[in-house]
Amino acid sequence: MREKVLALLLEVNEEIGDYEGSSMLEDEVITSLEVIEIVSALEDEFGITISAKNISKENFATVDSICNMVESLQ
Amino acid sequence: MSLVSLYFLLFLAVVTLVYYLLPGKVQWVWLLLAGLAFYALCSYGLLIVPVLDAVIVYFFGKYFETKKQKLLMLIELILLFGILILLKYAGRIGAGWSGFLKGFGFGQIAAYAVPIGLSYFTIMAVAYSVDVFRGTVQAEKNFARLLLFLTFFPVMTQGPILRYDEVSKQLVTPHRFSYQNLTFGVQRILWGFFKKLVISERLAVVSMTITEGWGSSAYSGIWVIASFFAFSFRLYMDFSGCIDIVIGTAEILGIRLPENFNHSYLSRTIPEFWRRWHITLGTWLKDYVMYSITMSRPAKQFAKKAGKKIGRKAAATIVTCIGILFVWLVYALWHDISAVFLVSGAFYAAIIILGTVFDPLIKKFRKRFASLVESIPYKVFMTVRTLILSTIGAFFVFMPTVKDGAAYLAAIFKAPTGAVMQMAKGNSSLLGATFLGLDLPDMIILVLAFVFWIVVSRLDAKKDPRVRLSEMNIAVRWIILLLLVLVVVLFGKYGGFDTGSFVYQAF
Amino acid sequence: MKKFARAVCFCLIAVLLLALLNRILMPDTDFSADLKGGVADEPDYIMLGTSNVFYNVNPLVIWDETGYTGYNVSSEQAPLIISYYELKNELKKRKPKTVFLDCGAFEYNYGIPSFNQLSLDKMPLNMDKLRLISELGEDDENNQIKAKNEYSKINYLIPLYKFHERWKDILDGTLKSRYHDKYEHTFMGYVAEKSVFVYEKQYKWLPTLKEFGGTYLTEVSDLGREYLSKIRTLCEENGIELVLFKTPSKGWIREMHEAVTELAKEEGLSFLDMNSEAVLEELQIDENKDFADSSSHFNIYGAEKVSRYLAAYMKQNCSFTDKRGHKDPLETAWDQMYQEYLDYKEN
Repeated sequence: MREKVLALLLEVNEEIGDYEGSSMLEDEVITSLEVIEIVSALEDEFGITISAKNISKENFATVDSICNMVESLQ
Repeated sequence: MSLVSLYFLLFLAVVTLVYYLLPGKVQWVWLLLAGLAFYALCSYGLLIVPVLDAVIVYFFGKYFETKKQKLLMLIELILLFGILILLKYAGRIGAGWSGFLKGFGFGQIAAYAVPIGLSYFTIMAVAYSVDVFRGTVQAEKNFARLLLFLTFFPVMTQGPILRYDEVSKQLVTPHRFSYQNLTFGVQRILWGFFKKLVISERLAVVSMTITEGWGSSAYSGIWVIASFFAFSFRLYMDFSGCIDIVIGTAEILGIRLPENFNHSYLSRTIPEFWRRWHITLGTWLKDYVMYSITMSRPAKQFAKKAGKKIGRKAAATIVTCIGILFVWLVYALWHDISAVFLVSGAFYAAIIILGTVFDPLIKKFRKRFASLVESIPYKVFMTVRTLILSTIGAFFVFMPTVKDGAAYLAAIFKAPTGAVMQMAKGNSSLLGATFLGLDLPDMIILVLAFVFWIVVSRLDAKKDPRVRLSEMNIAVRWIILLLLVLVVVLFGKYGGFDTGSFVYQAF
Repeated sequence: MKKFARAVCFCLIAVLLLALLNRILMPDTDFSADLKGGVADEPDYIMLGTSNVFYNVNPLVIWDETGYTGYNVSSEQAPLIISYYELKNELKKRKPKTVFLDCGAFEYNYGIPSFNQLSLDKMPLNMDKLRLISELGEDDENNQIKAKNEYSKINYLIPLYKFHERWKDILDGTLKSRYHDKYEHTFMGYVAEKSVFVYEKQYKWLPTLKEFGGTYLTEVSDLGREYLSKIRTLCEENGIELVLFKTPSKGWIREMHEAVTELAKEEGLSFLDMNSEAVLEELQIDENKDFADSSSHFNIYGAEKVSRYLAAYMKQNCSFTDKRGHKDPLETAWDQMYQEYLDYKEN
């Protein structure tokens, strides 16, 4: 699943692949516009619903944390 | 009771003393009493308002624990914002609110009809409710503890805007006295006083001299730009100085509050500025307005449908822009329903929307001219540009009307004629001369204080200056601190007849 | 514990430093330097009251006329509550035979805070001062003098709060004179003013309120009443005679004249109103020469006339002894002071 998520993310923003930090949302690697793109891509791909409460700096910290979120919503 | 007053320091001393004498279990009750007393001292009978807010969010929160009904959430929001709007704006509509109060024999209260901190505790209450509704926070079962969250006295007048999950535990857990908390807290408060009284109040004279003088041709052109710098640093010193006092106060009590400023004047873009200036308001707007809109079902449906036709990026851009518009509308309304705030909000919104729409282009530009983008002159240019842009937005709200603001901006393009320096009558010495409204000694103090502030701020970026201070030899440390006390007492602009109130306090 | 001791120590040093600063920056409004050398250790009289005392009564002229010694204890716009505490402080040092109390302050209650500040700054910090600070209030709208700003009592308690900005005065060398320039030439608490002021409009003496216009008290103020009786008691306890007087003033209305006359009768005190026709006849005030400003303060010429009249009044009504003719140090000192005054007047 991680590969699928990563592929989706890279489609939205190539820089995510190079990011090595631990707080993508806070470090502005992902903008609020890209959040919408990512959410809509993830929803389509995995058939989940992501709502405002899921948009936290913890959930959008790293590729792995996004995967965890997707898993928990499935 | 202003935070910059001897009364407040006295109040704080009494609160702190009793706080640490009490057993840890009841410390939070004392904080609640202190908050209510502080509020009563500031706003007379209007203590009822935060209590009412607390009652509302308490019962709705309890209900949301078991059932989540959107309609009820909406009703709660209408109630909370209804109180805000009623109290804040009804007074403006004719004799409205104050007449209403007077009619019931509350003449004394009518004069203070807008309770202090109203805007702050309202949106703190909203954040708590939404969190409970979203299920990210558990509803508080103890009403008194919820009331304490809304009436924690340091933050009542000017924020920072607290999140329930960040501070509620800290507020109610026992705190043992810590010498370091005391000294660090006091030092932070002292620093706040320094920024507010020594720097901000002097910059206020400079910026006001220019803004009030713009009708006269002497203060045109370059002086308008100068006033932008004076104004924006004044606002920064004033507001962040107050927040220093707030955070220092909480620190003395063993409570860590979120920072509200991160050297925002160094920002290179407007979005970055808003992430570093009034941080807690920015994150509040993002979490509760921006994402509430862009993550709503209609928005997502729109994004998906439109995405198929015009591409996902374009659709997301449209949704984002709508979100941004709402954020700035709320920003304006939260401050004040007035044309100047709407224009200010629209100004920021326009810049940020442009940035969002042209984001792909900007990214291409940055890639193509990477060496230029990384060069120091370019960085300086971006910083200065952002400083000026952010000031224009902030500046507008302190103009009496939009027209005045526009006329003031137009004065940039007029050449200044006439002298901005005035010599005292019958006195040719420089001591009697005033430059931009300040006399020579005041100007020297302003420059020296500003330089000192820059030095300390630079240190701050690497290591907390207070930690550095604590590692110094006691004699050196004491001399530095005593000097700072003397500087604040001697060179602070207070007393006399008009101690400046905080610029941001009205909101 | 060691840390606590250190913290306390730090605070003490800070407080001491600030106290020192307070002392350095406090403006000098005190006239008591005039009394150096013990020239008034056994005074015959003290003139107590407002600026009407320190501008209008010249103790040196009284000396020249009668050989009586005394001095002024007065502050700008001092309400009676302040005069009471000023007298109380003074009596700790010297006891006069008679206290002449100026009635100007009967027209208001608490007066103007910034003037009260000047009065309070002269007072030593003791229990009396703290009591005075706690009691000082502000006048309500109906009173003649309405305080424009809500005045923080911190200013009274910690003068540095107000005067800290005077660090600038160190630079241009006016640290000790800024609030004192008007009072540059003082003689036994008398402020000698040479300037001449001519009223544009002719004002009647003792007009009725209707003739004078405006809204002023027509009754003795509550605070005036209260503190008159306190001053009276204080004087009685010290075996001092109390006399009420009012120097000629264009703002003194007939209703007040009558109200004070009535009050004096109630209290069994003498009241010398120099605004009466009979007294004015004798004073021969020259409206083009004798006033110093628009507040009916006299310049040196007017003050001499008032002081001579007071001297004559003392001769007739008080049992003071003429201290001249002994060629003792006291006489020499007073004669010398009078000469200094004459020198100032001539130049």
